[in-house]
Amino acid sequence: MSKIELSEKEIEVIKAQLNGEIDGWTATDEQQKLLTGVINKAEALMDELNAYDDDFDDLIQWFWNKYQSQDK
Amino acid sequence: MGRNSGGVVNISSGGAGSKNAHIVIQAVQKSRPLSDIKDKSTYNEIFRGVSRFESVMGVRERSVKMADLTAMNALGVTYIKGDGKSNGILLNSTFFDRKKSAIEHDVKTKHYDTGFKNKTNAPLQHTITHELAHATWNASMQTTNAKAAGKEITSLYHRFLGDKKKKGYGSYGKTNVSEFWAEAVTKAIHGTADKYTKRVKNIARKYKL
Repeated sequence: MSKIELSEKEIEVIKAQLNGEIDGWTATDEQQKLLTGVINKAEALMDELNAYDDDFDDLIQWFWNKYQSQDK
Repeated sequence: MGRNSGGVVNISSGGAGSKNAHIVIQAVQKSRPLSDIKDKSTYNEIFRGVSRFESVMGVRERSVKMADLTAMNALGVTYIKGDGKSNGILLNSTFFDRKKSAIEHDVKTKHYDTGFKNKTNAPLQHTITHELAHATWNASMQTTNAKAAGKEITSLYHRFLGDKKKKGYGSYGKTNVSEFWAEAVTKAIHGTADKYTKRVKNIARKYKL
């Protein structure tokens, strides 16, 4: 698996999304751009790992788990 | 599951341990009927959205009221209890108690132009449709039918994520299965039909959501 690189701001937006602090309608322009960038990275990783049969219902949580597990 | 998201808040614990649940419980107590909306074209457009949702999805009208949700920075919220069933929808009065043209301008410039949300030709109706979809099904629901529907919706969500040819979807619907459901239902009602819109309509009817 390629190493996942995330900026501080991307980590911040991931945590906010997972804590239910971002609403799709009230996300700022910056939050939208950051979250879209995270989604693009997550999709690329899904393609690389062919992970479409993985058991998950939250792409951001799945990606965050992958990010955290790579440092262990 | 049972977690809270921006669109769905579980108030079964009485607000303990969740800032958003506490805010929603207070907001429910202070909620007002939609007939309090000053701009009648906004009020009428919301009800057109509710009626269209019912006719396309075959789902009964839900309790929809208005309250100040500024403290949780949400445009609208579906509040649920232990079994995950919807107890109602609150729309944020600071957003909805405005002129229809102002609301539609905001949705177009802040959510359509950025590619974050599906584009529709009914931006105001889109906002209410999205909330009604969360009330119809979300990943926190624990009823037998909702869990059975959840398996099909999650499988569909995975197909959606792997589909590089899909058209007309914003990026937010990819974040999790509940947001995928809400945006696919929105496209089923206000957008161009595709294999995902057909499936979500079938699932809603099959499981009597």
